[in-house]
Amino acid sequence: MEKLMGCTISEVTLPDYSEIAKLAEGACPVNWALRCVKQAQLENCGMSVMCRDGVTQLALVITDIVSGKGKDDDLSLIKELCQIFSTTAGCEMASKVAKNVLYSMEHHADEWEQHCRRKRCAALVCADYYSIYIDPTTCIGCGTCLRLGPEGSIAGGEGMIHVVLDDGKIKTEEFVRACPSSAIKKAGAVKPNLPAAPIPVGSFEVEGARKRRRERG
Amino acid sequence: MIITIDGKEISVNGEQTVLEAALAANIYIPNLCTHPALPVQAGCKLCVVEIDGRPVQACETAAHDGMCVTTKSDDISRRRNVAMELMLAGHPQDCTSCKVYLKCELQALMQYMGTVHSRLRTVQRETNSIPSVKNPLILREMERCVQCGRCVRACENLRGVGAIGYAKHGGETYIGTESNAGLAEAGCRFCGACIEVCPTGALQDEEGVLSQEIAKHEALVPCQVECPAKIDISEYLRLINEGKYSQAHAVVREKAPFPHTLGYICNHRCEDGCKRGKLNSSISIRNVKRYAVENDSDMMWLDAAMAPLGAKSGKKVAVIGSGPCGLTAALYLQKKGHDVTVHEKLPVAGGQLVTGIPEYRLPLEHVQKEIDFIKSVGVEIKTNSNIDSVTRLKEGYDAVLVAIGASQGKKLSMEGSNLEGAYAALDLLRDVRLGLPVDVGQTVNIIGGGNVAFDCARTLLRMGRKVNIICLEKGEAIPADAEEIEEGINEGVVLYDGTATVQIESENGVITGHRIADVDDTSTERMIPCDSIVFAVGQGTGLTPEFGIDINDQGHPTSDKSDHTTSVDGVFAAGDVMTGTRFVIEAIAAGREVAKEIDRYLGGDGCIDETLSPRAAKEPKIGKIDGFAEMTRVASHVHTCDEATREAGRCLQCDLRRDIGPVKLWTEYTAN
Repeated sequence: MEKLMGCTISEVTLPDYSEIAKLAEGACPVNWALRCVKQAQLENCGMSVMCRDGVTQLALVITDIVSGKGKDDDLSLIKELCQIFSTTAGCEMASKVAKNVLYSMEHHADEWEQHCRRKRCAALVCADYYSIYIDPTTCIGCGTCLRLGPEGSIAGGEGMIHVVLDDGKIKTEEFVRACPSSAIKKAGAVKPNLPAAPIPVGSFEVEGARKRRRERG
Repeated sequence: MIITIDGKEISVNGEQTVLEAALAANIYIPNLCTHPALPVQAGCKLCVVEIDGRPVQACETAAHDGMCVTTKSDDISRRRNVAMELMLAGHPQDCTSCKVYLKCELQALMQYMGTVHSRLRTVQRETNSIPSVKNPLILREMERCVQCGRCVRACENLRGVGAIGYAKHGGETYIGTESNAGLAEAGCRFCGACIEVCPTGALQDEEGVLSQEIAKHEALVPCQVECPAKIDISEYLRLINEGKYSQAHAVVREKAPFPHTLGYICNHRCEDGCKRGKLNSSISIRNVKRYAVENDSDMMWLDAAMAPLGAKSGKKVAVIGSGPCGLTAALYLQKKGHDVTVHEKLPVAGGQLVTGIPEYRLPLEHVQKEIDFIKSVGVEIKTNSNIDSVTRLKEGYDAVLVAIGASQGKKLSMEGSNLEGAYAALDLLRDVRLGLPVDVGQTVNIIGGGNVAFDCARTLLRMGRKVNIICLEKGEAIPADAEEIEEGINEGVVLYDGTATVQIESENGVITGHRIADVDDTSTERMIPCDSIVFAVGQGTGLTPEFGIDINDQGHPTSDKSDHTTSVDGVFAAGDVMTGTRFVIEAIAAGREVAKEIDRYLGGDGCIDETLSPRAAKEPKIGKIDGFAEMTRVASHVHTCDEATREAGRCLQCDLRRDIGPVKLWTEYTAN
């Protein structure tokens, strides 16, 4: 810990809201806003209420929104808070971050709605709104993901199609990119049909599986 | 210049902020982080107002001529409410379990604004329990902290200490110390300014530190609370620390005309109250006082102390008894313009100061000097003047004070207690002090375990006698001061504690021995040969109905009022004669009180307050002192200027908190 002496806004590079317009394909504007807020939370001097408690409150509410706990009036709450923060004198950090959040909300209103009310992240960035799976038609059973993933997260063996048992600890871009065959994929609300346990590479039949299910139903 | 607040024109001095100007004009604008004693932080955002249609903080906006300020609008309310809700998000919701319930500025603001714990997410701070060690004197309940920063500014800017500051742990802000150390280690001087300015229950005085039974302003300085004479102790300690011994002496004299005497024998209840005692050990207040008095070379107080406190009244007052109570009352009554005559039955003035307390504890010359001062103010002291009827005496005076003390030594009524060689302790001490012959033989047995028993014993040891003390109490229950007991035993007193007197043995009217037994086992009965017996078993007033005032069974004057009056109009009584044996400082305090009453009885205003050492504004900036919390108490007596400076410098200066003063709540503003 270090003693804080005052606002450090001049030394901190918070993202500028103009960046929201240039967000890369596949980026989530809600997640982007949350990262801005969390950075401001870490770096504000704590001496004014909007920076200290206000930014903390934004972080809590937006975290809820991206993790399935958003409430109906959260969006209007954030908007009200941010409008006040952005026009409060002497709360520079809160003001800047509030403008970012407002800009994101204005330009991506639909995405915010989806996150808050439908618990969905179109870009599959917000960890609670997607799952990780291994595409059984692409997996070559090389074992890379098995070695990388923490114990209990992946099942598989040589020449077998690997299966995700628990994706709690592997929801990172690094892990997704780790597969040499690009078989590690994200799924949103619609879950693909997958083998329950490892089966030999090449033995997975999408159609067959569908047929069997229809027969049973 | 003139500014307009909500359509109302108010005049403003050039230096004020909008908030200061409004509050001075009795217009309330809610505010929390602002405090009159501290620099502005503009952190709580509650004092937001509109100037030229823009929201600004009133606390950081300088007032300009012609400025137009709006303090109420929907937008302003919204902003204030959000700021308040944000602070409350991390604050416990249950006010009733808080020790400052109904004494809380935050709570008052919630009432003013109608804010409730709200729609916002509740914040649980991980940092609330930092540091994990418990601090002395200052109770920190940081879950109640709203981080307004008043404590930080009080420590840093007001006191120049800087022990606490805003700190960060992850994304959490908290109020903490360097490296999360305990307050002592962080350089805290335990002045309590942080507690004084805290608007919530986050910082409080540790329970039991300040009395809850008296007004807070008084209670803040516990040494003074404990002192019966209410001497301004913090002030004289500060003066001693600065080497201003004469001024320090003067401060003591404002409340007690026996500073040197007190420096020797005061039972220093102030030191029991001293807050530093709960940090490591109390200040050695009595000893530094004595050092100051003994090193007062210029007596700067003398002229002021001689000056009358009122015009000549032409009234005559008689004081019976020249002990500390009688002489104190005599001094103030004389200064109030009355002619005071003190009647002392013994050949010397001073009462127990000169006939009860042995020379080795209190050298006679020091008392004499302090009595001489009282005489120099005009008090006449008639020695060898025994008054056995107040009725006759009253004829020549407008008022009479009975301050005869409790100087009649008691004996146990048992066979042998009236033999030659059986003394009452007080009689013996008196005779020794007066230089009268005392025939106690070689071995003396003293019955009793109080300070008087030990005074007697140690006096006799100094005369070359062998001394045994026989007392009923055992070990720690012995009533004498621990210091007295220890020194007495070291000097050669043989102590039989937990033993009772069975019989005094004598042959042909001459004491030969003392039969004693353990209190809880009569089979231990044994004989200790001795030549004389001294009873140190309590004292009475010696008053009889013939004296002329009503007395109770114990011989104390009675009155149907609670003050110092007696059954006879114009006759007052105070000191030990009323209370039984107490300490010198209490006799002095009683002397002051009764002087006020008698002065009022004689038509005066009863005011005896005086300032002998003019007070400068106290320096609030006490700065940081390395190792302050660990500074230990001076070992015994204070011998050098350095020791005095250091010991007085250990003082926490609790009185500085009185200069901070309470913040006015919204209910006290009437203009809006």
